[in-house]
Amino acid sequence: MKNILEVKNLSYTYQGENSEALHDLSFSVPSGSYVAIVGHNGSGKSTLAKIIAGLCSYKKGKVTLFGEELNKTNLPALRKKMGLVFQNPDNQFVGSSVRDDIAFGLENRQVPSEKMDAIILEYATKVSMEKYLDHAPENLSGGQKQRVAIAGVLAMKPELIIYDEATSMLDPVGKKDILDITFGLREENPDLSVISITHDIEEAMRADYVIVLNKGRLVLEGKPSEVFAHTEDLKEIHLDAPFLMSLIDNLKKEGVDVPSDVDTLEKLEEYLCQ
Amino acid sequence: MPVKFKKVFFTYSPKSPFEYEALKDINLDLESGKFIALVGKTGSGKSTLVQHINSLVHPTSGIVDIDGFINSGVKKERTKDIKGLRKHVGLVFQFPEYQLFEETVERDVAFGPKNVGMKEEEAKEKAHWALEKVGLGKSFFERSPFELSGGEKRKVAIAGILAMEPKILVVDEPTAGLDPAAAKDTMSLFKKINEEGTTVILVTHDMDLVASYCDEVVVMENGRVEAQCSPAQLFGRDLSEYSLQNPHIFDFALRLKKRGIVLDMSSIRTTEDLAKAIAKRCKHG
Repeated sequence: MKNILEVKNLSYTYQGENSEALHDLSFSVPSGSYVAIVGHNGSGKSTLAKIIAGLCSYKKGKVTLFGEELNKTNLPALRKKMGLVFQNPDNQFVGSSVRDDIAFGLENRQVPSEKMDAIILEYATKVSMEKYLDHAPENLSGGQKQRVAIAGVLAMKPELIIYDEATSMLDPVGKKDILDITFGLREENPDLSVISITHDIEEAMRADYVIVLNKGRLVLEGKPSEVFAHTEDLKEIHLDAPFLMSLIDNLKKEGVDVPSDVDTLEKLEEYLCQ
Repeated sequence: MPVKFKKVFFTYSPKSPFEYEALKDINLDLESGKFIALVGKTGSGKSTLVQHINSLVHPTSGIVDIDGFINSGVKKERTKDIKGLRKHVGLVFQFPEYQLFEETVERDVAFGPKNVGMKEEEAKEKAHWALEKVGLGKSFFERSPFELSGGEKRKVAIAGILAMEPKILVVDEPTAGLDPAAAKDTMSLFKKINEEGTTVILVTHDMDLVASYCDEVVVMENGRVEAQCSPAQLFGRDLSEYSLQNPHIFDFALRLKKRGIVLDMSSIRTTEDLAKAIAKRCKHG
């Protein structure tokens, strides 16, 4: 399997700062995977997102995207293959209607206007916003705005989507909608990779792979059920364990010997009901 | 400070094509000194309801009695002293950090007290006290609020309300966008303020917060109050009819209940409590 992203020995220091925002980071993201990067405020996760998106240029280390080492010359071409969705839904609208907003990116890529309507409808439908095409973005809920932002990104047919805290300002229903849509898209298109920078541990629990950052260093990585089993280590770096892991941990403290292959709530329920 | 809603109705843009009835026949008693959660999906009327408590909006009909201060649908019944009321009822909106505007943290926090007539020195003292309370020491006083981190900005905004020493503190989604550690900090602060005697009304979607911190929960749906009870009473049942999610601990307890393992949930607030109850149940069959 080829890697869509490879990061090798990446360090980064902001201008005028003494300490490193990122220190000697190495990891890779296989094509078609959903990778959650978690860490509390100041862990360096947003810096990492900026570097991957080419918004920050790095000096130490190596970042390889889609098989090419990221540099100023190939950045525009590489950027076409990725889509970014940011935290604040209000900061990413350019159009005066949902339709215009999705059209914006297409126009930039010179998609002929006779093809545009069909494309807009297709992607609005994917995020269940097809009934809102003529609505003004400011009248939509936060979750609806983020869905439109995702439609705009998807219409560009990216190979990689990067979410930078894309659900953190949404209510639980909005959050769940975005995640369900994202996981649904991946079922349709197994080659689509997602890198999600997030505080939401329950979201990270659904990812294929989790990377935990603290103070610019990679401290844990692996499958969610492996990473989040380190409940004490997570506490030390101010991260909550997901509910399942925290419950298993507490049950063990109470003398209930939960087997290590229990990695879903369903399995835990089965085990307790034996 | 007790709050009573009596037959309160509220309509946005009455007699226009955008007319929308946001509150319908609200009758509600909020007791003094409690930590009360107000829950309900987006558009259920939660924000409109709390805006009545500090007279930001007036009822279309009915009366809100805030410990003797009357906010009524009938103009001549209304108490005139709005400043007096706002001193006692502090409202922390969603993403309050967007409302910071002064050059220094100290001046931003002192703005509220000065605005209700406090002298410069006294307002400064109050500001220092409030900043201390939210965990921002002296080194922050002279900094610009705009160069702080997101979590720190939010603390400054909260301090601005605390500096008024309100008797009722209304907080709207105070943990949205914060990381888990900062969210926990913020909630512990409200718990402490509540224990010192302030009524706290928490508007939220986060049922885990309700389970962990609140004494009482008010459920709104479609402009009406659908329930007012303890968190344990509410979470004992399926909440999908209100488009709400049960907290994780209650959700898992419900699953076990369906399989015949019934736990006493009345005193369970945390995952630790739940684990203890399950372990006890397993050991005694």
